[in-house]
Amino acid sequence: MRWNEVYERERRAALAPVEIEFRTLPAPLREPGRLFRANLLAASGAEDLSGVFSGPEDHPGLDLHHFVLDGAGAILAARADELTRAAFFTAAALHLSRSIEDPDSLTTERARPLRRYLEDRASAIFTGIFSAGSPFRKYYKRAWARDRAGPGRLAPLKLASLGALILADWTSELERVDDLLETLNAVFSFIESARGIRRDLQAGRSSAFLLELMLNNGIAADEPDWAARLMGALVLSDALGAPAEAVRTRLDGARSASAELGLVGLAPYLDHLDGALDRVRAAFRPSGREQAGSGLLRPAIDTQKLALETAAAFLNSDLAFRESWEIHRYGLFGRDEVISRFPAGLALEVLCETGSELPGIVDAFVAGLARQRFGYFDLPDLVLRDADTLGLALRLWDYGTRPEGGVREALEEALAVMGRSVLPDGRVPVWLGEPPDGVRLAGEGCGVVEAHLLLGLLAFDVERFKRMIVRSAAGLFDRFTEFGAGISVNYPALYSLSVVSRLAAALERAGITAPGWETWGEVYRAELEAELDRSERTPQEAAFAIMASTGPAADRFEREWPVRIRKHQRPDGSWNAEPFCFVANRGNEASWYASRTLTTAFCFRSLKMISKNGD
Amino acid sequence: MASFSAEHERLLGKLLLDQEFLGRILDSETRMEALESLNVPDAEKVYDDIEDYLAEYGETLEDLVDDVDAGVIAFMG
Repeated sequence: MRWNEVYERERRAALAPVEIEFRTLPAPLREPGRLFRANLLAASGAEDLSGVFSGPEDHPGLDLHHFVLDGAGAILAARADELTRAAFFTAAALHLSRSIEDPDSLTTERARPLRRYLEDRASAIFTGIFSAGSPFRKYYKRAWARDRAGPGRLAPLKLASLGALILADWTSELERVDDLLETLNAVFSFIESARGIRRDLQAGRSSAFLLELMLNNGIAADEPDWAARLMGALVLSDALGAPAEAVRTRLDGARSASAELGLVGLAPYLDHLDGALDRVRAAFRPSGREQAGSGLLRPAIDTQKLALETAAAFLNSDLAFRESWEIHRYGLFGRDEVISRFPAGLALEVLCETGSELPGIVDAFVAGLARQRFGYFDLPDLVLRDADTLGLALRLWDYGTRPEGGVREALEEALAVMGRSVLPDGRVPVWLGEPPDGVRLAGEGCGVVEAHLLLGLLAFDVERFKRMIVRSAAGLFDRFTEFGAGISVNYPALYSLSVVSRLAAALERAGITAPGWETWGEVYRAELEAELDRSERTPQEAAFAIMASTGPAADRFEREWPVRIRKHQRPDGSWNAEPFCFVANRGNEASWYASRTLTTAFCFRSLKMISKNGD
Repeated sequence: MASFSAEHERLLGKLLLDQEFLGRILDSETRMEALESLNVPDAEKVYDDIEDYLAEYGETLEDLVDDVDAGVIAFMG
């Protein structure tokens, strides 16, 4: 019988009520609870919750009180069951904490309330057993304080065992047992860390454990390719050998202590740790692979690479980006259906900007815009020309084959209309022309639309439009200095900042500056800080944060941003739709436009940006 | 135990951590180019030393690298 099977019957019986409890969680916890349960079962191969946290390589927290009592005394079976359940909730809370904090897992901050609930459930069980004056309280506080401090993350798993000893009136040596269990946790932790070495090194993720290994093996923390060198040293120079033997010495000490204390029941677990130390050390040695078994050198999934590949695959799966179309079916302009493909153009632009060569798709898209005479809607008989659509077409132009003929003629016609629409102060309005009778156009005065157009003119023919660009940009940056992200009417603040930053970079590349522009950067940085503070911390907001924080006025990066993006990616490579701009609805009301395609495009673009920066 | 230099450790570590690089090394047509890209003096000899060392234990580079275990979980309904 394997060590983890000794108390399997007792464990399964004690945890049966937990399975029922998970089916009846309070409403706000139901969805994260079901997901957590599904992940636990998937990771462990168990059929229900009574089989999780109890594999041969798992921490024995759910059974440890049985092992400890074997030699120390007996307690009521019902109490032992309660301790098992408390240990389960404790293990679940610790596991969920680690999942939330793991940058490669899909568990998000939305699971925090569930994590709190799990800890509270463990606490409630312990409180029901131990009175306020019980010595248990001291150990409870100490264990969770160690967990919150970081390195002692396994400490709360000692609690059921210490509680069992208190119930068995075996209190004279509690401190020694606490120390003993702490040592066993340290050994377990070493083995766990060693198992994760390859994954952590692949991700370039440092830790106290890795730094100690490097120190032991003469590898400096600032050495280039430190991760590769440590990985090689593990195989060629037995870099894990000396630290593993030091841990074994501690394990031997724990064995002696458990014998002195008479805790004979711990022997199977001590033997398991001894063997696990051998196996983990052998896993890195060519001579020891058979002994180690498979899997210890299994590479981690490169989540950044995978996120990019699957997002690109999603975007490329429908190059018409049908899901992103802005469609009105409530009778806009008296019609059953009115479509704008403008958002699809933004998604196409992201693919082109990030290296996809799609000249045929771009030509077809621009030709479609030409058929609607570069108006916003797909209505040849009702042309509502706007600066955003024209700017988009101009930005896409160079990614296509720059066609002549009808498409070019329609573009020149739209450019001429735009030229005639410029206001006396140099500003380019959003709507280029008068609306038809009975139609009121909203969104006028949006500085981001103007910036979109300027980016288009800069990409299309900077020399031809230079005078106009300089006047418009000077006014735009003046307004930005006064109103910050408030220059936007339609777009989210962080996105607006990213467009201003992008425009500043494009102007810089074109050698265009103007008096007074030196002050905008200061305003930009203050606005960026304020908007980051206000951010709702969604994946799209993180994408905009990355886009807005890379440019001439700001150069900052928070590791949490890409993690937040990656954690919310769907299995098809996309992200859930997030609000992007206002659109008309039922005539006189506004709704948020949101599409999975566009949110995915922005998440993809931002992840590409940080990949380029060597993250 | 044989003694290895930091360059040996770095090269083997890169092979174990960088699947794409390992693929280029395992392909005899791209191996030389991949080794040269490291800018390590005598990279070929360093690589040969590693192969010889592994061979002493009847191992190859491919043996050392397990595959990513993906797609083993399927949820229904």
